[in-house]
Amino acid sequence: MEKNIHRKLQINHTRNKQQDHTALMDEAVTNFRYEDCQNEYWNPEEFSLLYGTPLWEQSTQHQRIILNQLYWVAYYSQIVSAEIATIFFNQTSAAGLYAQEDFRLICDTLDLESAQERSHIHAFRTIAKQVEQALFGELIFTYPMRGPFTETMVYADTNALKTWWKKIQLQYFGLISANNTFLACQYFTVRGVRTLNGKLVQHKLSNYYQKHSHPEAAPIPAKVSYYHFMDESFHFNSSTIISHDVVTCLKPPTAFERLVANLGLWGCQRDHFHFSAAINGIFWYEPALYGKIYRVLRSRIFEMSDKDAKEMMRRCFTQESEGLQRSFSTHQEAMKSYQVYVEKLDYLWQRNRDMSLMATNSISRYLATQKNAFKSF
Amino acid sequence: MAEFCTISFPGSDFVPITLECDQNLSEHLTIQNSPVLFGCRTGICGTCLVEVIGNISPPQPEEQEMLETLAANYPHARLACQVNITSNVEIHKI
Ligand code: FES
Repeated sequence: MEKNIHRKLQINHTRNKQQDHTALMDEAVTNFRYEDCQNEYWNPEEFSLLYGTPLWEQSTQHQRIILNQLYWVAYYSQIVSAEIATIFFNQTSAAGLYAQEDFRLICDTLDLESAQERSHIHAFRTIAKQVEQALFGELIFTYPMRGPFTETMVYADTNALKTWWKKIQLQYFGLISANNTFLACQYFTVRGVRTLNGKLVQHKLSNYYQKHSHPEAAPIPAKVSYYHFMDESFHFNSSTIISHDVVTCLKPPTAFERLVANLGLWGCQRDHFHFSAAINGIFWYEPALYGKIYRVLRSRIFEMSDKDAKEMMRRCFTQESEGLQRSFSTHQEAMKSYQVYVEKLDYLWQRNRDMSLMATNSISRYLATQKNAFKSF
Repeated sequence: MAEFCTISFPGSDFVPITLECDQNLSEHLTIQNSPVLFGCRTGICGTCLVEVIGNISPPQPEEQEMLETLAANYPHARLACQVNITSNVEIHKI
């Protein structure tokens, strides 16, 4: 491996070990009591569930605080899914990478990252479960632990066949990338793109703690956002080094390897096709979220009747709003960032370089989808 | 009264941006209003590597260590996410 690349890997590994935030995160979570921070925001205000929609406009201050906290809960439930998958693919990729001379450092880095992911998952779930139990007496966005081959919590218009097919593809990719160094590296292109998107929002969430007037007294979930952001910076860096630099130390990909790499990125575009007025920064398929939003509106926090809840949802999801504009703008920024991130990877299809699938979504397309889907809700 | 600094991007189509001084670039520049892509935003990944021409404080040792690995031959190289602007600057993508 080229000296400079090795040096980059070394800095990343050494600094990650030195600045590891998992002990702080574990400690913070041990001290988490919802009562201590139930009356304050945990994120900047614009990162609230359904921010800038008719629901937000007519909510009381107390309800807005809950919507802000529920954004945290829903957002990090998505991150839990992503991190469960990461733990698995870190392992299989490490197997594929370890087969090369002097790749031990990369594998050690991935081991450290997987241990950090386990701490993150524990933190997100512990807080989210406590909050949802306290607010609703049941779990809405949080779900039981699961394996790595499932769709994330709320996903696109899927069905049993598509779910099965995705599972098979992920299992197959895990299997072949464990025995193929190029494909093992390729996993990090997808991981890099996904983390790049995460960083767009997580940077703002982590700023809430950093700019808090008394950071030590900031709500624990805000601290957790910051600690997570810091750990993930190193993860993004490993993705970049492996997918941009380490890959250049290998033989050029075969036609099959190129195909699999491109299919992986195409799948990522599919996963990031939608945008959500409910949660800015997560590319969920909104109709899959209707049932959960309905339960929130019927809960004692909003106390809406069946009719009022549905009418409110119709207005939030099928009409243009500031919240929808903001989410669309995040989607556009993500798409542009991905284009630049993959610019130098010459084995990619043009449609992956241009992110042309993501580019076909728009506000009018979103509204048409919602109007159609809402009829059968 | 707040002082303002202008960030321009010569050689690109991006229009200059005016900010209050002492702002961190990563909170104001995006891939849509500038040629800079931010990745980690904590000075480790080098995605935001640029040349900065202008009068700003020199890099801290951690940034310096990264710059030696990423752009040893560029005396004005900086990690945009680590830069606080204190004067008008020109930014070029490396
Ligand atoms: S964004 Fe990673 S070093 Fe600046």
